[in-house]
Amino acid sequence: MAILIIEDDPKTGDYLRKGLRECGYSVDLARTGTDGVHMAMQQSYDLVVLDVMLPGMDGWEVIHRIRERGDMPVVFLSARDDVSDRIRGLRLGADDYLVKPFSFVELELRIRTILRRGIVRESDVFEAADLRLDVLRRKVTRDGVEIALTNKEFMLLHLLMKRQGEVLSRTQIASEVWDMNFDSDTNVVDVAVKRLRAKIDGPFQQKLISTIRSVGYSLSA
Amino acid sequence: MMRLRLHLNSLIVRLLLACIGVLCLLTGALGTYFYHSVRLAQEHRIETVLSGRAAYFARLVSEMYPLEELKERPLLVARMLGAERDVLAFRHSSGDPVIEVNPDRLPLPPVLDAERPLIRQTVTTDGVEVYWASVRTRALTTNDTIDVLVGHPMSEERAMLATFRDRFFMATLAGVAMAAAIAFCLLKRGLQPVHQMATRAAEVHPGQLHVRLDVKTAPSELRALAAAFNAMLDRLADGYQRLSQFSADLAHEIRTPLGILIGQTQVTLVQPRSPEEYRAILESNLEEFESLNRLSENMLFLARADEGRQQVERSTIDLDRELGKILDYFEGLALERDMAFSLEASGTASASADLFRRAIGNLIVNAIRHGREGTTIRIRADASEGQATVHVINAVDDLSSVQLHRLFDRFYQADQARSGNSASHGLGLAIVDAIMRLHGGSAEVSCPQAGEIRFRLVFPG
Repeated sequence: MAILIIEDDPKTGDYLRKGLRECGYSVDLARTGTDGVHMAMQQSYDLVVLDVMLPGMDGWEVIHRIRERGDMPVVFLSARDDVSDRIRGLRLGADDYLVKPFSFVELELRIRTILRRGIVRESDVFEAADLRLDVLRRKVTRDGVEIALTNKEFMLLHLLMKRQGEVLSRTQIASEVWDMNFDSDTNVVDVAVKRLRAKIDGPFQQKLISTIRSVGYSLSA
Repeated sequence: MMRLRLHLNSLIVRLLLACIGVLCLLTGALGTYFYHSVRLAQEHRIETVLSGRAAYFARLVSEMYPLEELKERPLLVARMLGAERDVLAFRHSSGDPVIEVNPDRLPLPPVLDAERPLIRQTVTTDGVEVYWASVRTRALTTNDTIDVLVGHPMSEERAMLATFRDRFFMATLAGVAMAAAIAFCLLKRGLQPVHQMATRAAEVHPGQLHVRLDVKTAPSELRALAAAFNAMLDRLADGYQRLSQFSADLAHEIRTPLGILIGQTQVTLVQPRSPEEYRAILESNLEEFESLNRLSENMLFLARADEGRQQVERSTIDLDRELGKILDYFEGLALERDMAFSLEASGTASASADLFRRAIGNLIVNAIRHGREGTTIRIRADASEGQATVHVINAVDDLSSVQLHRLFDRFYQADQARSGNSASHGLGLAIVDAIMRLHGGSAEVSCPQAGEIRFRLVFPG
């Protein structure tokens, strides 16, 4: 997967390139809008990470030019989180919009979501090791023993199993399970995962839910 | 031009101009009135004199002296006339003058046909008005029809009037000038308190906000201004005090995590460590960074709300559904402290969905954090007459150390012991307050009974 980063701030650009390379992407970095457009014309990328505030040709102009070329997904980075800016970005065809300072993990997760968009597994039954979740019958068993879950716990487990092996951030979990998009200062998600873990992993040797510190949670066999 | 406008802006100049205007108008009206009165009196007197004189000469010629005799003694007639410039003429009905005393050779008016003395006016080529009276009679002995004509040029009277007018004009000018001078002095003196106030107000600056105007000794008209000014200073002083407290608190909030970060990193760098240790330090640092990041985001939100730049996009919110959803979200957190929710809600509110969630969320988190363990947090919401009210009521152990009115202040933390690890940095309720202000509503806190605290949010329609 090839990603083009267009970012003028040297430190930000460097750590983005380093971080995304380590995540297994092949990354090119452009320091100006003009360079970025030029590189996007030369080569086809799977995704573009674009800073809105660029000297010379700004992000709006860049996205315009890139859109002329073809349909590359674009993630906007902006230091301003005015609603009007956000709307403008999304209207111009940005696939996602992150406000600086953003967490790198969040960016990485969103990039992965965009690149994998449409291939999220939808199924009626999910399995991980001896854990089994039946969506239609709302039934969870581990090692053949049924586990009683509350509604939210079931939804949380469903999300984790649906995205098995993926790291989910707290924000993602809050938005998918509770439909809460606000950045809360609270550890609601941690508390919920803790309760779920007590039921799912507690009595068993093999722990399925793992905590990735300061990032989020993932479920894998 | 600039200077003139500058002068016109002066209160004294304006009042003076108004005074002078009124004075001129009044004296002008008085002068005109007197001028016309005198003029009318003069005319009236002349008319009386002339008609009397005409009647007298008519009798003279019809009853006492034959016309011939009078003709021979013109001097007598002239003397009888008395006045120097007056005109006397005896005329035949044909218009031929028999006797004419006319020192200024004034043109005589045409013959009149009337029994009674008739007054009329003519104007000479020099612009002098001449008043005339005539009487028709029959001459003694000859019994001829004779017109007696007497005239009086008004030159002297008019000259007198002109003198009167000029003197009056001069006197008015002098009077107005004097009145203006006196008024200027009085105004200057009268406005002295304004200068004093200005001098006093000039002493006010950020380091010296305690200066106040003297309301008691101020003139009654300026008392309201002085009081309002003092009240303004009170508010400014209060705001300024809060602001400096806020800056100090902010610096403190930032300094604490920075201190940890610096110290931790320094200690780490003193000697080589295992990758696991570096990892742990970095993770710990990340937590501090995230906390700082949240702080700055909250500060930014508050700053924008203060500026009024934050736009509120209202939508209709179903109170029961939305509150239910929020409580669902925080249920796990409440269970940690063995707390439960009870919700009674109906109606709708007009508010930004995001901000509504944030405000209610902050109140709920506040209630979970500071409420008494094992109790129920009650949420009551209803809408009537276009405004929605949300109550969050919970039990607390001890309110004695809490200054209720300061709860919405930024960085105010009633629970000092727990402030260290508070994730919201003591900004949660300040944000609730800011959100309510953005909606044009209000956030209040009260203590309806001992051991209970109630927050009330009002969203106007």
